[in-house]
Amino acid sequence: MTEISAPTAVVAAEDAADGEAADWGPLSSLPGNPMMWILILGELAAFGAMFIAFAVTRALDPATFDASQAQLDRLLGGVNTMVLVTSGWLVAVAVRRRALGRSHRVAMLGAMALGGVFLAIKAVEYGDKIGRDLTLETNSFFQLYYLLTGFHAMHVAAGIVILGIVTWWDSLENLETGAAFWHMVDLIWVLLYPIVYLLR
Amino acid sequence: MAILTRTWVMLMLLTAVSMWAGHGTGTLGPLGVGLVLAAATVKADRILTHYLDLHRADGGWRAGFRSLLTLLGVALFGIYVLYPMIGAALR
Repeated sequence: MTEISAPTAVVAAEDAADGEAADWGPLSSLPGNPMMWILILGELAAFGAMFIAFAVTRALDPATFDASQAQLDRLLGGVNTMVLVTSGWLVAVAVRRRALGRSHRVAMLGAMALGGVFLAIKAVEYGDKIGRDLTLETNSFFQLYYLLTGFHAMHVAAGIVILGIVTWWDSLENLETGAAFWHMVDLIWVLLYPIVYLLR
Repeated sequence: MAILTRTWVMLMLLTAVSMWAGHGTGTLGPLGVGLVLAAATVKADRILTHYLDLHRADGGWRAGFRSLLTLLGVALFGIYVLYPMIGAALR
C-alpha cells in the first residue's frame, strides 16, 4: 500500500505547494498530467483505427497478406517486444524511486538505452526487408507494415528525447509525464506486434 | 516496487506465449487468434493499470479503458475469424 500511495502523496504535496491546482473536470482523477492522458486517448484511438483498417484490408486479400507476413522475422519482433517491455519496467521503477526520494537516473538511462536497442533492431529489420526489395511499393501489406511500424518508431525516437529531458529536469511531475508517454509507446507496441507479425 | 516487477514478469511471459502461439505457417484458427489477442489485451491492461497507474484513477476511467481494449480485441477477433465472409461482402 505504501509504495502505491507514496507518489500520490508527493504529487499532492507539490500541487499544494504550488497553490494552483487546475480543475480538469473528470480528467483530474487521472494520475500525472491530464494533457498526457488526452494524448494517450488520441493515440489509442488513432492506432486502434489503423489496426482495424489493417485487419479489414487483410480480409480483402488474405493470401497476399499471409505470404507477405511470412517474410517478417517474428522472433525479432518478439525480442523487440521484450526489449520495450523491459524499458517500460525500468521507467516505472525510476518514477517510483524518485517518489521515494531515491536515485533514479541509472534506471532512466537504462530505459533510454533499451529504447535505442529497439530502434537498432528495427533498423536491422528494415535493412533486411529493403535488401530483399520488400518496400512500400511491394503491396498493401508492406505499405501498412512500414506505415504502422514507422509511425511507432517515430514515437520511440521522440520518447527517448522526452525521457532524456525529464531525466535532466527531474521533478516528479515531469518524470511521471515523460513516463506516461513512454508507457503509451509500450502499450501501442504490445498491440501492434501481434496484429502485424502474428495474426493470420 | 514488487508489483512493478511482477507486472514485468507477467508481460514477458505473455509475450513468450504470443510468440509460441503465433509461430509456424498457416492460419492460426480461432483458438490461436483468440489466445494471441487475449495475451495482447491483458498486457495492455496491465501496462495501463500498473505502469500508467490507472489504478489511482476513478473506477469509471478504469472501466472505460478496459472496455476500449476489450472492444478492440473483440472486433479484431471477429474480423480475423470471419474474414472470408467480410472479404466477400466488401469485394
